[in-house]
Amino acid sequence: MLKQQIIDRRAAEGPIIAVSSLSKSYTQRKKDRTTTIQAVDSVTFTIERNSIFGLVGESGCGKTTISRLLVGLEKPDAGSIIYNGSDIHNPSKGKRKTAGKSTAGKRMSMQVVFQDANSSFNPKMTLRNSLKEGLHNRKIRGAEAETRIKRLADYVGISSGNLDKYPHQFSGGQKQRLAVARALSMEPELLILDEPVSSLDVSIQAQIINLLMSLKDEFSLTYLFISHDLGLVGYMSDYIAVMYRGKIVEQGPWKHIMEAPKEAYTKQLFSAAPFLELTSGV
Amino acid sequence: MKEKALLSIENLSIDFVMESGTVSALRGMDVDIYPGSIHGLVGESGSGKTVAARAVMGLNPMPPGLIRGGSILFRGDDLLKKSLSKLRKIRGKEIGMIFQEPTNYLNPAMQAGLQIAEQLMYHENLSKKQALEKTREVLREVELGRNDRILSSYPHELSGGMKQRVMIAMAAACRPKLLLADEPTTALDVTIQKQILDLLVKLRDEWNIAILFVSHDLAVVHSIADTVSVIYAGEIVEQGKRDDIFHDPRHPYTIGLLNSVPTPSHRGHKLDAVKGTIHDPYHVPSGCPFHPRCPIAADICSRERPAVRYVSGQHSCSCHRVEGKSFNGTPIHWTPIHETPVHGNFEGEPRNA
Repeated sequence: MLKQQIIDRRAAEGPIIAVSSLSKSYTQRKKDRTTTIQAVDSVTFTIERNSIFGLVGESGCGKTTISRLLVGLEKPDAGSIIYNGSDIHNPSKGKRKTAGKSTAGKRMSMQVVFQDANSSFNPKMTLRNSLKEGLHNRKIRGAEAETRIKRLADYVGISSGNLDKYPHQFSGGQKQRLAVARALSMEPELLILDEPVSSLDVSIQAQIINLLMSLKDEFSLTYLFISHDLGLVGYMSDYIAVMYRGKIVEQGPWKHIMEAPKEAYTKQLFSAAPFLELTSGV
Repeated sequence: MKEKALLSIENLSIDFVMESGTVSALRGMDVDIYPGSIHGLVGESGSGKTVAARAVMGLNPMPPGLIRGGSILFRGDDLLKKSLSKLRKIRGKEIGMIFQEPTNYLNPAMQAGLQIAEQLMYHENLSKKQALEKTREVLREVELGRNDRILSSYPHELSGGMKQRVMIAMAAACRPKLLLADEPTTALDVTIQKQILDLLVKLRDEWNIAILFVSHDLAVVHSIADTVSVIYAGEIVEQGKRDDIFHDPRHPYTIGLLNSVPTPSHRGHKLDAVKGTIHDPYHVPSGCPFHPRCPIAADICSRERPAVRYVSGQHSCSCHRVEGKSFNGTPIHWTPIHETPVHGNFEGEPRNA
């Protein structure tokens, strides 16, 4: 990543992403009746640059649907997502601030790391080729691509000699590191981390979290961090939103949410979660 | 706890012998479980905690599994010496088991009520009608109410939490003395997890049963267990009362695990995680299996397997570097709040890329 790019990022102003009254529903047809599930129900939030926005909630509350809407894997029923000044799903509506950059180009600067690293890599491709794919799309080939891949592997602590292996030859933690490397290859500004560590063991989980925190500072990244682990979200996030049945029931700075939640649901969620707040030498 | 242990696993060693090599899943495991208490067995994946729970039930496939030695004494009788037909009389009646993924362990083509009633028909010789009647009582005990809908539901019609309750009802139907819970809440949301944990505590208190609670989640074990064993690569590295393990940990692995858990009070500090990854299961390191990852390993650690040392009454630890009350050599860093800040300086020069 170019130094100038990072400096530009630090100088950029305004929120990186502003979501307003976003809604998405899914319809299910069963014999003669149809049921509609409101997966995301007029959700509004903004993510500030260089911050970590934690999205918590139980399974089925719509966390992942939001991430799919943000990267454009789903189209919203209503509402808008303004990313760096322009509307992702309706480019003409937004401000023409980033004119000239295609929607695809903008989407490249938003990358996702999924929960299950196993299913996010092509099992028939070596990791080197998986990492190369994104670079090829950006017309980076040959020696330049190789140097970049080596550098990416260094960033995430994988020896580049290992990259000619296939996904099944790596452990879960290594695969998740490589998934982060692949996301970084697109020089993203915003990383969507959808439960990136929940399938990993605690010691490996801690290593990945340390990696994510140092990469964030190094590249001035912004994270949307989706998780059901409240301790982890409280550790990482600057801002926290709590989702329940498609709605954001409460959002605010982490301290407000963790220490003085107002909504009944947030309180219930926090009282149910076992926390490990320990003091040494009792 | 002066009572006699209900279950004593003594010096248990289990190997899995396969074409690709031999994996020694458990090496000399010792655990005592007492009536009316919950024993938490914590470890990361591949540490052998599930093998241990399955060994009690005789559920490890043999072969490739091979018992190298040791015994599993349940009320004084060695379960490993029992014939399959004798074991069947105990399994489900005196020892119940709950699994992580209820979906995988329930019969998808059989109504939930009938699956619970099956235990009663087999072990208590009840007729189908009597068994179903008793099943209603069991369902009430696991807080599913006198609900006929659940009795006649198929597993796919139930939510994850309800399926786990059905599983518990199956395991608890015959009022076992011992319950083996293998990661029973891992697949569940926190609010449902809380309900299931509360239910297990209720069963412990009301029925005075013993529970072996296997989990990788330190926070969950802290919230439920009375005594705890920490297992690493098939060996128990530290054992003691809950507060011994969580507030006065001695083994470098236990300390590393506790330091790896992120909480809001660690904000801005790097997690002091256990370094490296677990070794290849076919090649267990010599001496102490943790020595390649250990921050305080010395020469002796790669040569000799550490003996069990007692820190205090029930608190034991297997580490060459831990001697009685104090560390033998360099003390290990154990503070829940870490001192190295992770956040770099924003004004600082980024690494040239």
